[in-house]
Amino acid sequence: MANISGINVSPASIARMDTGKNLQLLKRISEKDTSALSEFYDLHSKYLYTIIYFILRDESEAEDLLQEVFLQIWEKIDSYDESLGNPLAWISRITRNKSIDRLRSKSFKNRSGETDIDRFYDISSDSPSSNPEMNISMDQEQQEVAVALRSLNQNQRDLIEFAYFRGYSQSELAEHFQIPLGTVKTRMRAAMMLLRDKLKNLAL
Amino acid sequence: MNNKKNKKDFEEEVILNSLGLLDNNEEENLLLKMNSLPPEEKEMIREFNNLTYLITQAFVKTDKDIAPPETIKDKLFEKINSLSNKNKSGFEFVLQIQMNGYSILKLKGYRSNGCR
Repeated sequence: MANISGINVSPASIARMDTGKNLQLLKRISEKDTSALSEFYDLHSKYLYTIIYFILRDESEAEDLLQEVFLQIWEKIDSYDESLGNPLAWISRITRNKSIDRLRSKSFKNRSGETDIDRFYDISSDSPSSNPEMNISMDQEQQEVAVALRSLNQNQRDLIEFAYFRGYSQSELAEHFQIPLGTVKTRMRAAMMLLRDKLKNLAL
Repeated sequence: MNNKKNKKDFEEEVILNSLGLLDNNEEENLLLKMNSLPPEEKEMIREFNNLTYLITQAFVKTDKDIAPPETIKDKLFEKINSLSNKNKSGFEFVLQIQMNGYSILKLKGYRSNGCR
């Protein structure tokens, strides 16, 4: 339980509060309220920029792409369906997909950048979000997610990383890891089912 | 048995979709059947989409947030303003088809001056 001003608040309820705020902003954005987009940008641009940079490792590309992401949010807001995921899931996916498209177009796939969960998981981040309530929630969430990810075996983590953050297709994964296509699917499924079970409490 | 297999196949499709692993055709097929899916299957999609967001956060968010340059926001809003100005300078058209005095089709559209 997180403690905010002496009141115990569960991470899930903070996350819900956060989702409510995001939904309100998205509703105003759908009404073409630029001040809502500005607020939404202030809340999430750092996070989305970090995703882009994580995938591309190129500042000028990341700057360009961040604008594209927010333009897409502005223009395609009607394609957001709350029943298919929370707002952050939606904007993360837009950001990831655009970054991967750029990665593919620039043939960045074979760049040497290495990623692993231990290097990227750092609970003592000294760059907190501007929303303190969200920080508490995020830290706890991240801790739980990191623990859950560590419960996967290395092969499963690698598959998720190469698929989602490096944009490998199923057949590219099979080739890279020298396993049959069916095994790619089986391992992915097993990994995601395990994570879902372990993280069900995080407002999934 | 068949239901179990169908459920497993659908689960796999949803998981691969959440990880961006469906090809364009497969993704389109999933989108097409989205409206007719029972609530529990939609719920499954929601769960795995949210799960992928949590994974993204674990991989990325903690890599110390990097702030984009402040000029990016200004550039973004310049683009948005110029887009809305461009739209304002267009004109609206109405296509109406009548039969026996009754309007059977009325299409409203918008054409900006930038369109050919």
